[in-house]
Amino acid sequence: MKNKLALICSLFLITLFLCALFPQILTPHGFDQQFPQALLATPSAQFWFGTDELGRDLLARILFGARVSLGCALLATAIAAFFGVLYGSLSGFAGGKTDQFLMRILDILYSIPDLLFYILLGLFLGRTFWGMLFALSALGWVNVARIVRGEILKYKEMPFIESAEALGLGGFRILIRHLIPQTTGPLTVTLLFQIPTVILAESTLSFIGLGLTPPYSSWGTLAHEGYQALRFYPHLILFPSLFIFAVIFSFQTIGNRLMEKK
Amino acid sequence: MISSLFRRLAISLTTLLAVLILTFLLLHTIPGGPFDQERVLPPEIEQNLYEKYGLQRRGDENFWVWFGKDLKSYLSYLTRGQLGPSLKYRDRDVSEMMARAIPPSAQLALYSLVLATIGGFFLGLCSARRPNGWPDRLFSFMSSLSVSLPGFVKAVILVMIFSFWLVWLPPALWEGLSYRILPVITLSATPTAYFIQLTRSGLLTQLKQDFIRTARAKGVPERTVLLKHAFKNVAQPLLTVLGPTAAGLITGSFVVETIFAIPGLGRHFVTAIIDRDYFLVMGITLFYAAILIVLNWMVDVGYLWLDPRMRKGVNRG
Repeated sequence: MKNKLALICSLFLITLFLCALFPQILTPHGFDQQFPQALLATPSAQFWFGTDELGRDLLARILFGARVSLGCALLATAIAAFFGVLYGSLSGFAGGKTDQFLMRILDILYSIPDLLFYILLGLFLGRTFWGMLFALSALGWVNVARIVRGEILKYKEMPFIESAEALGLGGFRILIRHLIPQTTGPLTVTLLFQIPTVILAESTLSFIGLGLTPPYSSWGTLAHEGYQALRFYPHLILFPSLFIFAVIFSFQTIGNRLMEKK
Repeated sequence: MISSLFRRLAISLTTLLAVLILTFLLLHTIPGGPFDQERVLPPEIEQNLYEKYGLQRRGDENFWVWFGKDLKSYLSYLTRGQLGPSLKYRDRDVSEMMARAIPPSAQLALYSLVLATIGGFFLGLCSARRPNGWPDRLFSFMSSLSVSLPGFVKAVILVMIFSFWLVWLPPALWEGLSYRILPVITLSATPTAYFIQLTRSGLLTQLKQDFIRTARAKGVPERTVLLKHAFKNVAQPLLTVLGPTAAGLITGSFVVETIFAIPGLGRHFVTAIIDRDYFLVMGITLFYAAILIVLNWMVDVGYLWLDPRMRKGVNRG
């Protein structure tokens, strides 16, 4: 049952990625193409998800928004993985005073409300794709670093590391070839949970009106636009929200499944 | 033990200073200033405005010189025990604005925290009593749903059902008890889910321990076993997440207060950033940081209370 659910979630994500890359499969309309004769249309055969107040196809906008939301989440997670592994492994490997100092910094960063930082950084870096991306990457590595450091500490004292030392391998080589590969399991799970966190942060940031500027849109900005017409055109907020939910749920289900398997 | 608590206090104050400088720096790097308007002001008037508030206009000088001057004048407000004037609302003090905005925010956060703690604990208890029974499955499904839904979607769903469709509860503002219900439910949903999971997994590990078997064997009632013997050991992980939970409540309040039009700190914070109201942003940021620091400190004291082993100065791992 749980395996099946995780499988369905993976299939959904793969399909979504393909559709985001090739939106022509599902809709012939462009994301910024306007249909003045069909403003705020409800879902129909021509516009599966309806249109917004400028007569743009919502399905096309959601698929285009998927590139932004998913692309941002994946890239931000990749950046978080890189810096997290770097910081965490160095901290764990160095040990002692250095480790304690580096962990103190993490404690401080951990207790900052993340959205506060994303808002300020997002404004500083500009409301573009890259600006959002770097703002959202700024704190993501903290969690990764904690996990990696814990794992490194666990394996550092093990006999196979001792034997590597006895063979005369340098510290750097031991770290790269023998210690960091040990962390892959927990790291994968952490990263799988990191992706939905970024999607959530991005959509929240966009929803309070600090996301991408038009005509570009992420799922959060689409939901933000839909919220303004909530009373009379609920389909405008329904579909973007549904996609945000489905993607976060999928990543979390897969992550949970991997964690239980371990 | 006492000295370690004081060392933490010193670290906390350093953190506060670091947050202050970092936020002030970020604010200065954002394009646009507090007195930018759609109509361009004559340079002399703008100059006077800046001078009135003890700030500098960004001229040709070095960024750091400019930043340093502004920081100095902000610090001089702080050393006089003031949070400075609002740059956007004329003749209003930041402290006065915050004093008015804190009660709604504090109520919202406190109600949500209480609801999440009590609700999460009892639902987790129900789940752990019979693992994989129907309450367990229901609650775990509900919590995975709640974690996957962004706050604004939860708010919208609740508003559509209870305000538009059933017309039971008001969709916005913060006037009386009925206005509190939807925002509090929205804000507490995610922490409740985490508390359910933590309580459940914590209790399940505890219930397998030998001392629980002994307690049961000597005829201690099941309720006492759960609430007294197992609970104290489960409370510790709950305490650990209190810090991140508080941070999450603050983050969540930005969205909840914006959607439900609650005149609280979170909403002020978002608009103050857009308005580049430097002093208001700083005031609210410092307040948030101070709360989080105090909370983390209380968590540490809570550890000592829950686990007597730490009182003897044994390092906590």
